Amino acid sequence: MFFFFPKSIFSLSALPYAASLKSQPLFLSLLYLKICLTKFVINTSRLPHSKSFLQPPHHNPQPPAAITATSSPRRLCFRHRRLPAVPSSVATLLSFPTDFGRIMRNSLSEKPNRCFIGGEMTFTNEQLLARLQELQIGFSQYEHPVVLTVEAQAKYVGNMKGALSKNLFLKDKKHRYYIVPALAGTKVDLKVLSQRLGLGKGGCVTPFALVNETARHVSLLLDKGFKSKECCFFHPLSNDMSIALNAHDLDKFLNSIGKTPAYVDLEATPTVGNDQPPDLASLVPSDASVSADPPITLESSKGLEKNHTSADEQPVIGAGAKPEKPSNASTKEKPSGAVNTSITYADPNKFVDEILEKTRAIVLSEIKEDENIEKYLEQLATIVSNNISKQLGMELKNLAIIFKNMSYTEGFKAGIHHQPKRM
Amino acid sequence: MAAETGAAGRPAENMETKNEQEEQIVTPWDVAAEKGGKIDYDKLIDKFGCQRLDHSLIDRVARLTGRPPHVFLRRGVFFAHRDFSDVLDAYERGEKFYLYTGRGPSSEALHLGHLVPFMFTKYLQDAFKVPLVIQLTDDEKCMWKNLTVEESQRLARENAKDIIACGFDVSRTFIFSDFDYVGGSFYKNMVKIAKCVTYNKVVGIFGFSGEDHIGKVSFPPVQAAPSFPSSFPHLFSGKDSLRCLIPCAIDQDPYFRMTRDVAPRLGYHKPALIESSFFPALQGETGKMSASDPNSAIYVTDSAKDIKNKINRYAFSGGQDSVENHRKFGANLEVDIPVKYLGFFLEDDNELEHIRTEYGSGRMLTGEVKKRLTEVLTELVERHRRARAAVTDEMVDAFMAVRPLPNMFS
Repeated sequence: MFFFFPKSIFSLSALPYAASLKSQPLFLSLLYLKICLTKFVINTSRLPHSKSFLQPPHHNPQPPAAITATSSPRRLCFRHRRLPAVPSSVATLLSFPTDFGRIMRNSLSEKPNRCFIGGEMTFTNEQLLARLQELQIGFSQYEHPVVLTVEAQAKYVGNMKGALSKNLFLKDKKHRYYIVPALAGTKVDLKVLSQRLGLGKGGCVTPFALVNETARHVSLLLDKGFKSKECCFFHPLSNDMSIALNAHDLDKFLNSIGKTPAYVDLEATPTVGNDQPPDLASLVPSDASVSADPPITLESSKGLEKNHTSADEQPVIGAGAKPEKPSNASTKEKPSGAVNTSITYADPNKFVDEILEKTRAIVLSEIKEDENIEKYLEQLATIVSNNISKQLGMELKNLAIIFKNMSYTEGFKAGIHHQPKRM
Repeated sequence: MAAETGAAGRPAENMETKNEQEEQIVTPWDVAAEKGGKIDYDKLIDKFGCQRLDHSLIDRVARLTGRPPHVFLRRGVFFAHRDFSDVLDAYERGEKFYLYTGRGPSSEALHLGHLVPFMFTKYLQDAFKVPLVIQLTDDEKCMWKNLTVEESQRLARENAKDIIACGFDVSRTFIFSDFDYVGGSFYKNMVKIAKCVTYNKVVGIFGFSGEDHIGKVSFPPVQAAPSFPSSFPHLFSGKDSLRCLIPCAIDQDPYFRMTRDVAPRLGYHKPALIESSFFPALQGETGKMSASDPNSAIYVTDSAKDIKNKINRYAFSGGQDSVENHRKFGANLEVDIPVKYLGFFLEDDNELEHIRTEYGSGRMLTGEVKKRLTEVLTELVERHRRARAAVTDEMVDAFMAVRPLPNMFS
């Protein structure tokens, strides 16, 4: 039942967005999310409750007068946005505008709705509830009119046993997504949270939305307060129903879909600084790398350097190399072959000179390729390559020394613990 | 050995201070300029009898090593020497030498002044491709600062981490602490040295009195012994004619005058010296860098915010009191600390020259100079901190292991 993108659909070379991106199966879904949430205002107290764009509104016995009173267009999770013109071959996939319109219309009417993304179905409410029963997760179910906010939900189920939950759907600068279900009473300071995740500073969702494949790369941070309550109310995949279950059972469900629940003290404000790394940094999704950065012209030389040196030198190289690249040199494939003389690797300075030589060669060759601008860039090439030697050179030599020292230390430790052959 | 630039605070009576109050005082424990002035380095060179490091020598270094000379050489931070030209002559003939420097681990916090000799020594190691021995005089600090043995050993290991973070090559560097290493051939040399120095002489050089304990009196040979290659049989066995070059601060000169005196009698080459001027305190030349005042220096543990704060608030400025006066008269570059610090740490000669002319004529303001200095120092401290974070206890053990160093000359 899981939602799955056949990869063949994604020869996205025609798509303008994809031109600069490596094609990824998640591209469309995340693009969809991005469009949906571009203007999403994160407001913890008035956040619409459990309204995922993924969930279909259920049968509505009453006209949703409550909705118009309490909601404003701003609070809805999705927007009607026009995409740039796309080739007709993929138009069938990108039925977003019509989807948006349709879902919006349907939420205010009574038609049951399923979300379509890319032509495939996602989970419906019934499917989720069936799933929970399969897993033998006990829950009590209460139906009520569609609710968009915590207060509205409280009107219907507040008198019953169980803590209310609210959900924050957050997106960071790098287009990674986080669902943060919290107890309705927990105060979440978003600045602190983003610091704790190691991000800079920035839905109506439900933890259950993670059942959908599209949410594969969404990070879930649960309020640790849930654990202390006997049971909590969440929406299943529709906001006209709330189910109560306890945190243990929620964990069971999350584990069953392959998500490890992470409980976090959302009210804690630990200082995050140079000495204390962000304590939640491990929860940041690492696969979701839809980066819209324009290609950096020296990716090829960065790649070469990667061959020789350790991964944490990348930011250094990027920082030094970026400002000086001419913008119209094209990215080339990584040249092959590392030099394999033992002398080069034993002497960090020679090692670095080798790398710099190759970098310089690449820069000069790439720049000189474009005939039209050659004469202006000859000088630039010299300046750029000199800067590389000076600044990059220093940095890389320092790193190479550390690298060598560490290798030696490991060998030394192995040597002193070495057990001689037993005859 | 305390290869510390700046006012090293070793409390000991100094006979010289009683006689020469009007002159400047430069001893391993006491550095003071003439009344309200700066240290006159020319007078110092005359008094000590060492030689100036002139441009021809610097060019020669550049030629022999095939790389541009280090910032400290170009800017005259290392400005005096003894027998450095002999060492270079021998190097040209193919005879190598080894480097010897050290630190007295009296405190955990190192400031930039402490790093200066190590940064220069790293350059020498890389440029000449020669081995290096680093002595951590934990016994000296135990005696003079009255620390426990365990505490001084612990500080020695902590300081070793910061020293390693300066970027020394493990395959060419041997770090040792006195408490661990003294013995064997090292001790034999210590005894040989001690036999050559009379009690009166050592009192004359170091100013010991009848009240000082015998530990202090017998310490100088410990600092002298590493100048002789036979002290390190696992490194230099059979190479008794190997020369030694010692980068240090000029206030250590008296120590090595004693060693140079002893060397011919033991059949070794006299150790060569290359000496640096003092690293000024933030509050100015007349101020003293002291561990009790954290605002007198930039520490390697300072955050970027601390550095910015310290420079903006405490760095002594040579600018005029008002913008108009500043534009009219320009800044006093002789006493301005940010420009001096930039002289130590700003790599680009042209940029420094530009700053000096603009600031000196009044076109550039103190704030801009301080801002540039903050950038430079933050980068330096950040690089050091990153390197320090990569140093593990195993790495310290590796550096301090008594092991041969094959390829130490290649």
